[in-house]
Amino acid sequence: MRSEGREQAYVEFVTARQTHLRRIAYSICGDWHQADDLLQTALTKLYVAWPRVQRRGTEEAYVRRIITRANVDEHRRPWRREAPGLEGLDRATDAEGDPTDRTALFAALQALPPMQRKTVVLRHWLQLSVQETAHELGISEGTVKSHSARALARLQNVLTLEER
Amino acid sequence: MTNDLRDRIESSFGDGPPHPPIDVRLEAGRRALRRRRFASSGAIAAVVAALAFTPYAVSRMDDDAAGTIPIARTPSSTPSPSASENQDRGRRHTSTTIAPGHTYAQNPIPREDSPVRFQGDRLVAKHGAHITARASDPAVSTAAVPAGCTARAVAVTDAGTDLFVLGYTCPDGAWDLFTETAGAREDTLPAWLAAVKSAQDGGEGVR
Repeated sequence: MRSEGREQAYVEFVTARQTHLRRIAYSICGDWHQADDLLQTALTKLYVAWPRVQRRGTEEAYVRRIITRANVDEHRRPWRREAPGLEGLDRATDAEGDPTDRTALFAALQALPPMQRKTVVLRHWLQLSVQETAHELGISEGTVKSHSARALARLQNVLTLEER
Repeated sequence: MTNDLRDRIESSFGDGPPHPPIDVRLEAGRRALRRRRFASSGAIAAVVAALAFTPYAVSRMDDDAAGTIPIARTPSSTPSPSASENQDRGRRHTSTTIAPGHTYAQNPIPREDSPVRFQGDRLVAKHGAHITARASDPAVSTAAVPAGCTARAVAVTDAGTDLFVLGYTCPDGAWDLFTETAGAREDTLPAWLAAVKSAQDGGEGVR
């Protein structure tokens, strides 16, 4: 009985928020398949911790933090540093649907260093405060500010071009 | 700038491909939960088994010191134990064997192997097992059973083996079963519950 109630609440949350949460993962990693993996990892951990997390009302923040932290971990793995594919040859078409689905701004966002990208996503897209962003990324507030300033400066060119 | 950037990022990419069925997500969660519970109960069972084995090991060391069951712990030039001494040691091992396949050191039985399971907050026998006595509101140690959880205890017979089970379920869905063969501590359910509570108050976990 309690298990059914737990699962019903979990299903309601996942159904309502999985699209938004996967977009966060995608904005960080730039690949829908990896975003799916990241989200599944986070939602599995959420299921295990559901009673505690739901009691606190921090379901979304919990998943978001796992997505950003898990992605951090993935990037620290040595095999992730290897460049896929054959250098100099055309890459296969991305299996991500319509290429026009991504704008120049998104491409520029993906070109940012990982922590700058995450800072922009959390701070300027999801509108978290400096303090919240620092907490989610596990870095200091000063580092958030410097990442944010550098990232915005790099994105500025794209933003200006798009406005023309 | 901030709101503008937010809107532009928001509209800079789509929603992506369809999501997998919700059952896939649920099943992954259930598997992870089972793994975690199995791992935690296994670790605690190992600790409890170690605690349970300690008095036996200590008593053997005492016996050794008294010379009743000499054991050569390190290679030495002293003669090996005699045949009668080996027989004594064999009886000692036999007396700690509770049931075929279960020795004292293996108690408690892992909760997955318990002959009962929770149905709601009631303990029911698994196929082939029979509950012979119940304690619907046993006195339990607060050191082992979380506050707000409901405790249940039963005596059960399974394949000719008598066992005692103490379990609890909690409002957040947590549960656990502590199963021992009858006679490992006490011969009756009330006496066993009292012994378990005493042990738990002293730091032994129920899980």
